[in-house]
Amino acid sequence: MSTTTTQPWKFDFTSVDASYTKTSIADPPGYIGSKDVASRGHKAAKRSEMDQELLKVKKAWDVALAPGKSLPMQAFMLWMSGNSVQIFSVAITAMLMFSPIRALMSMSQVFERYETVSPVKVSFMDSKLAFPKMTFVAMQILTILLGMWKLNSMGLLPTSHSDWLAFLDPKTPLEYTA
Amino acid sequence: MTPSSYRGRHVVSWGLILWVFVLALVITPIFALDETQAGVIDWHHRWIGTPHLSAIPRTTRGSNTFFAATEKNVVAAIKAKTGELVWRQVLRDDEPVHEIRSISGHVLALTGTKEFHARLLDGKSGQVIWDFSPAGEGIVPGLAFGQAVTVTSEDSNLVILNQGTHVRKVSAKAGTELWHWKAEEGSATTFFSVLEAKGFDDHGDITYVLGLQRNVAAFTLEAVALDSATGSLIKTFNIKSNIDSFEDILTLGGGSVVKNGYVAWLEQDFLKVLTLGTNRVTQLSVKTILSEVSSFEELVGKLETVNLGLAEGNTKFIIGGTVGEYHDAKGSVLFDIDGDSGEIEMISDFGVRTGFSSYTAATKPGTSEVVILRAFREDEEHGAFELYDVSENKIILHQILPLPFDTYSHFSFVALELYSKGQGTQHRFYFSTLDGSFHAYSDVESERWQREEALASVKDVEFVDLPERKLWTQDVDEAGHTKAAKNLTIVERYVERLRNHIIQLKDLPAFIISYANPSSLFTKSPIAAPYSEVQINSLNKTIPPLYRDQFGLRKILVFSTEKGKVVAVDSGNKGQIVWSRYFPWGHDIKNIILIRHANVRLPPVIAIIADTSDGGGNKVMRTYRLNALTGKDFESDNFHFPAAAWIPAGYLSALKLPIEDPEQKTQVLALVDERMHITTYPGIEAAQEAFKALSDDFYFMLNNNIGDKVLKGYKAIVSSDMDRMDVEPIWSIPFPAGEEIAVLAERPSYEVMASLGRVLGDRGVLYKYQNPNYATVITVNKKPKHGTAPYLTVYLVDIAKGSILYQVTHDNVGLNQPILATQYENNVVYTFWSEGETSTSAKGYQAVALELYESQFRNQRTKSDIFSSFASERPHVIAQSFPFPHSATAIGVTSTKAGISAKDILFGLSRQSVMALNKRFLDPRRPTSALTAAEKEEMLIPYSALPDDPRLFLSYDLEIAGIKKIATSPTLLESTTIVVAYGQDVFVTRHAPSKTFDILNEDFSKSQLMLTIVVLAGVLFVTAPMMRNKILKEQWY
Repeated sequence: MSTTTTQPWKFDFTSVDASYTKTSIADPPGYIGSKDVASRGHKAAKRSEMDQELLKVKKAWDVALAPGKSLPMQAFMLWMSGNSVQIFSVAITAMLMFSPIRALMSMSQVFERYETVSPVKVSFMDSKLAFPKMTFVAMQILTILLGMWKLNSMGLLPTSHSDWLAFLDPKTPLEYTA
Repeated sequence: MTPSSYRGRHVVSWGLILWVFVLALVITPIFALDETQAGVIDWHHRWIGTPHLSAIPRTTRGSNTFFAATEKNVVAAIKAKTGELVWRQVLRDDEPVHEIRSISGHVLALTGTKEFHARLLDGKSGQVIWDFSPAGEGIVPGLAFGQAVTVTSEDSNLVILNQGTHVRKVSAKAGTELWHWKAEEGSATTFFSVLEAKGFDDHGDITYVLGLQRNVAAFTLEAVALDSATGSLIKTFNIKSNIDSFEDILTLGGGSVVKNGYVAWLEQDFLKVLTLGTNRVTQLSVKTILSEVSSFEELVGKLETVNLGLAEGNTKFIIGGTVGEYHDAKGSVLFDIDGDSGEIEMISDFGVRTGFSSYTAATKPGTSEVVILRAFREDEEHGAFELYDVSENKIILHQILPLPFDTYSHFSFVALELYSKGQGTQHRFYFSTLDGSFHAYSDVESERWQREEALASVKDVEFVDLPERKLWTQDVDEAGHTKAAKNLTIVERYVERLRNHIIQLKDLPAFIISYANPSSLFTKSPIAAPYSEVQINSLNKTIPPLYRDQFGLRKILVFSTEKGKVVAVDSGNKGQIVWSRYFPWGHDIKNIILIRHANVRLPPVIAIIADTSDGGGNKVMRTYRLNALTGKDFESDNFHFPAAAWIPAGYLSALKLPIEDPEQKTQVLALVDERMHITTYPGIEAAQEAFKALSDDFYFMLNNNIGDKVLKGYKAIVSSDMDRMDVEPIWSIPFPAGEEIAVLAERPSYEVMASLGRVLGDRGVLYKYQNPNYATVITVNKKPKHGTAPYLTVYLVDIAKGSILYQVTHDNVGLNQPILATQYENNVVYTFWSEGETSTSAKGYQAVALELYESQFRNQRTKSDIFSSFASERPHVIAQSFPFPHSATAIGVTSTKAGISAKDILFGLSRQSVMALNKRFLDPRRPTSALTAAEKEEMLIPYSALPDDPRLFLSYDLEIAGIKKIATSPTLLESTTIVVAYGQDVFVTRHAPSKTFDILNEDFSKSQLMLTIVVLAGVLFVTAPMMRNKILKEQWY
């Protein structure tokens, strides 16, 4: 299927000439002419921008808190899967360990939508998304910790002496006897 | 193709995969020896010891079996033609055999010390037909005589003399007593012989009992005449005589009521003969004998009587004596007694023969004509038999047989059998030699055999790993001939290798066929060959060079024996004897140490250290160095390290040092002699310097013997004489009064600690006490302390410091039962007999397990890279005792290459078997109450008595007599260890305490696996194009 062929039923608004508005033809519904936008009051425009920002931050907070909301469910699942090392419990725990890491890796993409392009360079702490992002990270870390707790209770973390026993070197006797 | 056939194919392939999966599940570990492995991975040599008494059933056509009694208190029947053991009766240690006789095809044996037994054993099966044992009668303590038997001709019953006082007539059929005569209480006479002979006056049937009456300086002869029918005393003859020893007396003649009985004896300057039933004594002065007999011209010492072992009725006897400047030859004369006058007649001078002479006599088949055999050494390589026919008065046979002196030494016992075959007479000679081996030499070449009975008295064993074939072929060509040390260039070597490979190509088709042949895939292991094939050596057998197998399971076992013989046995080939060496003249072999393993081009070398004495009676320590593959002296170029060396003082100890001799790559030994001097072996300067450097931190114990009351530790110090070191005592532990050492156990010579701690159920760790310097000492005290019976004390002693690390006392211990102990890593296991607290409480064997840890608390460890005995760290000891269901005579522990496999404690049992008990059962942490979760996690077994499970027996139904020690050696397979149990019998097997986790199970069906792979590949080949078609078709929609 070729995309280069022009199709008569397609209408590209970008190609509309500004002078076209001068004609008596009514604007299509939803089309706000550039002239109108520019002609609107500066204050109103500003307020709407503020709303947008607030909305974005609010949405960002939602995204940031989402992993935390699923924590109780995940904890329940982990508890249900038992402490024995089986394919099911190991799979759940591995998922619990890897999904936060994956989420952290793709954090910038997740929050990109809520980012406001600002002409001035703003430091991270001053940006509106700093706290949601940090909360997001904290939530993912909480999830990882949950996974760690699970691994520990399954005995898969090298925390006890017995885990390091094999790496101990025998003591060298100073005396030789026969 | 229709869709249904598609589905069908899928079902087939999935079914196959499932099938393979199920197959994998079916392969489970084995828990006991598989029937097919019996006799394949193990072998058992049944030894009887060196015969010193024999009985041959009288037949004219030659008997099938030879009855022998041995020094190891065994009565056995051996197949005359092949040397195979038909049956044997192993008697107790305190039950020596005094006499055996063949009675109508059965064997009569007189045995016992504390308890006298006369038994008639079935000739074919060895079963006891009857056992006559008068209560409360043993032998006379300190006397070598007092037991005798004679067959009465009239009713063919037996007259048995016992304890030097009791004479009984016993029914030969039923073993019941017919009459009993007892010498007077408190009489000074001890009787030594009984004989039925011609009577006197009107008494026709008389049994004479001969005794020695103790006088101030010597003995006088006493003959008591008893009525053969009733046992009533008829008359006592006191013969004026002056006899020094019982060995100077011979009982001759008799055996029937018509023949005179005689007693011949040597008395100072006379040879005297008494005719029984009279007081008539005839005599011949020794002077006359010496002047008439040319053999005795160079006589040194006294004349001696020789017992020919003839049946009753014969009157021939031999007087012999040592002759020659160096006491190295024997002369002898044959005498007879004139039937009417009782006069001594000299019949023949047997002449002088070098070495010892052994005599025996037999009668010609079907007649009563006596033939006398004299066996002696002909020269270094040969022995000789001389047969003297009395009736023809000449030597009828002079047989020379190959008998290398340095392997067999002199004759110690001979027996002769004559039988008729066709017109002629055939001879069969049975003989023991001083090295302990037992031989048969027959006129028929296929009936010559030899049993290496020295192995019935094994003292110690050393394991020798075989060299790899690859290495071997560098020095040995295809035919097994050793190449001269060729100095080949690289090109020549390459050409040589290429040539060898081309030669080997001829085996390739056979090799491929053996792999392709389906029958080789499906057949099981071969059925075990009869042991006799390898237990008995035919005299001229060559043994091909031995190579190591893939897993190092095949080794050479070098046994040192109490006889002074060293015998090397192939552990793989059912114990085929590889080589043997005899060290004559009282070599007491103390140590046998492998000082060099098989190396790239160097053969393995063993050192033999023996205690001997020189001609003047001074003690000498001798060392020998042998090539462990051939048994030949290992010669080196070094003047300071000869193959045989000696130290002019008695042996005290030989200590292995962690030093390698830079020239020969042998392990250096420190030899301690009775002067308390240390000599390094080899005595080269480099070894001495290395030892001096080591000596500051080198501690040892010496000659701590069973029965000692003090334990002593020593150290080496540099002496003023720079060539040697001296021994200095540094500590001693005197035990409390009454206690003496009963058992000493030290750590095994090969030990690798794989894990440094014990993991608990909560994943904590108890760290093992890592002291390589501790030893276990068990003392006993006959006087009870708290209980009613003797007690024993267990000490764990640090050898370096001389401190007691742990001590525990067990009250009420039975000392008549063996006390055994073994130790490895941080474990000690010992067993003893517990008498119980009171006379009514339970008695039984107890096995106690000790485990030593760094701390009683988990996860606590002394953080250090070094261990010093002088740091004041004491182990925490966990102990537990378990009721043990068997009577053990030997104890051992398995050893594996890396120490990862579990350990089994091996017990040699008095019920003639070898048992392996996993350490999990002998675990002091076994909980005595209900299991907690952590204990379950640790997989502890709740406390119980040790199991009595026949599956634990490594020896299945074999009867392994007289196990004294159990030795183990690791193989290249971590799972597997070689177990050798010895004492009287030798039993060798492979054992895997953690199952054979590192090799495929024997049952694993390789053929099925191959078949599955082939089928799967075929299915893949068919279905792959179909699948491709299907995918292509799907693209269209």
